[in-house]
Amino acid sequence: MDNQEETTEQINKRRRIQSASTSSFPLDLIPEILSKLPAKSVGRFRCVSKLWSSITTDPYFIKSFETQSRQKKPSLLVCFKRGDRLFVFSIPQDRQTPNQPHDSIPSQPVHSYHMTYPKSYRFLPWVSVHGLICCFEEAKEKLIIWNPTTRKLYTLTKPIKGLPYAKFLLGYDPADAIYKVLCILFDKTTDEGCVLTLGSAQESWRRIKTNHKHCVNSFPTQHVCTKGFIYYRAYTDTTDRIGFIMSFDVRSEKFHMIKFPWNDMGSIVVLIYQGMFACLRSTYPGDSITLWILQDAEKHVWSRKNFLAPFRYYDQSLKIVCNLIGFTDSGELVYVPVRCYKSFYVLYYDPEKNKFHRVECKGIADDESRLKNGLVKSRLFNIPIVSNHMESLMSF
Amino acid sequence: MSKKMIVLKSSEGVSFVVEEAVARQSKIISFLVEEFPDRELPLTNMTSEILRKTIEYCKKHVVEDDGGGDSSSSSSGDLKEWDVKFVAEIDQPRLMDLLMAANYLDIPSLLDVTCQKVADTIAACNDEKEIRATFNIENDFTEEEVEAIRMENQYPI
Repeated sequence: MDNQEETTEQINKRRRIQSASTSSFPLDLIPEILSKLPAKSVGRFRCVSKLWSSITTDPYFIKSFETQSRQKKPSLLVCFKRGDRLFVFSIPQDRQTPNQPHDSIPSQPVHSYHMTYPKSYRFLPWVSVHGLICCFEEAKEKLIIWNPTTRKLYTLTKPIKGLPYAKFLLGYDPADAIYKVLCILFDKTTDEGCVLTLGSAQESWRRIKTNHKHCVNSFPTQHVCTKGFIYYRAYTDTTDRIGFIMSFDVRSEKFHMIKFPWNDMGSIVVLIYQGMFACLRSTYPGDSITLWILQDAEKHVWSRKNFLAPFRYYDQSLKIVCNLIGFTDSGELVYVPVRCYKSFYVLYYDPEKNKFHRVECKGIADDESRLKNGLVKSRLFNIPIVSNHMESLMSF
Repeated sequence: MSKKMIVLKSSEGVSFVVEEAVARQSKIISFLVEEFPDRELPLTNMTSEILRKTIEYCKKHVVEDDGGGDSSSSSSGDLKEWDVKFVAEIDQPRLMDLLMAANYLDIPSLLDVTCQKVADTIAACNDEKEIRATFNIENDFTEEEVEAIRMENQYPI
């Protein structure tokens, strides 16, 4: 086939006109190109020209950037708050070099910065929902939506005064690129909730019916958001010990109750496994866990996967307990230490090879970093770590 | 087994004979082939050089989509690596032409890799001045405006 091409071409070769290549930017493709930049470059290069600035601050661009960032890699955010200073460290969630030998301790690149955060508020980040994190305290009148990429904080007033005990669950609808906050009263059996659309013209809480009476009382409330649905753990009433999962369709605002595939008590972790909602459950007896992946919410169908890895991992060499916080894209389990002294690291468990890999993250807890950040004597334990964090340029 | 071939003609009038399956990766060509079967398709806004590059890309990608066959089908990882190498070897002006060809012919995967390559080039620039020089962009901001935008957008991570 190549020959055919060449022959035809040779005949016409002499007639070939040297084309004038256009090295300037194709105008209608600028948004497409800029949406493939890392968030920091988008911000840094807004001063290139008025056109670039207007494109990258346009709401449509910000939404398409959100879509693009699905392909960008998730990260773990490690955060410390001291006074009104918030220290933020971002580590790639996936292990960079999967072929390293078991005993070596490679290090991951860490990006860090600090910003101010209201001193009077405790710092309680839960989950990252498409780049935004909802931080709230039950006792406070206000909640904070934090965008770690742009370092901006947005304060929202809670819907009901005088009834401060409520849970706030952030959700994201990828179809319309819209964020909503769902509010459910804490420790009360109810069929009512409130919802607020972030960035809407009249940002106000609306009351909605949940269709199914339920009660939210576990602390912290286990919830995640994936593919346009918020999933959270709920109970029939305050005496129920097994519970079920409530799903909330961020777009249609419809609730649905999903039964667990078991009927006995036991601790679970809710998470996202390869984009799907899943529950991890420790299997008694022994050091193994079962992952239940939700296949069909309507029919309450779950599929299961067994892992030899433990629910909580005790690292003998460092005498530190590590909590399981999620999975990497390649299916490795991610553990992080509950406290750290001189170094911070992430443990990856490879279920295929049944092996742990320890990856040190320099620049977080070592002497030099502590000195630089004024954390010399601070004890670092119960460190808030947010997994599956993506970059977002969203502002309200 | 003979495969159906179609003829694409560049702006210089050079004809390229391509397997239909290769050319059909372009949504525009796919449409044209159905509307006008057995006709030469003139692509008047594409030079032979760019058209040849585009065909090279489509040929590589059609083998993989076939799945099995006589050629050693490489994994999607290898294909990604090939894509990276493919765009790395092209200089800046031709990359822009290829990007526009991918846009015109509607080949989403080629548009994706070329846009990503341009984005990587932008991200690798030290400052806005270097970007303006690389892409012939006129600075329509005053010094003060640049400073104000810089203050607003100190993104850390």
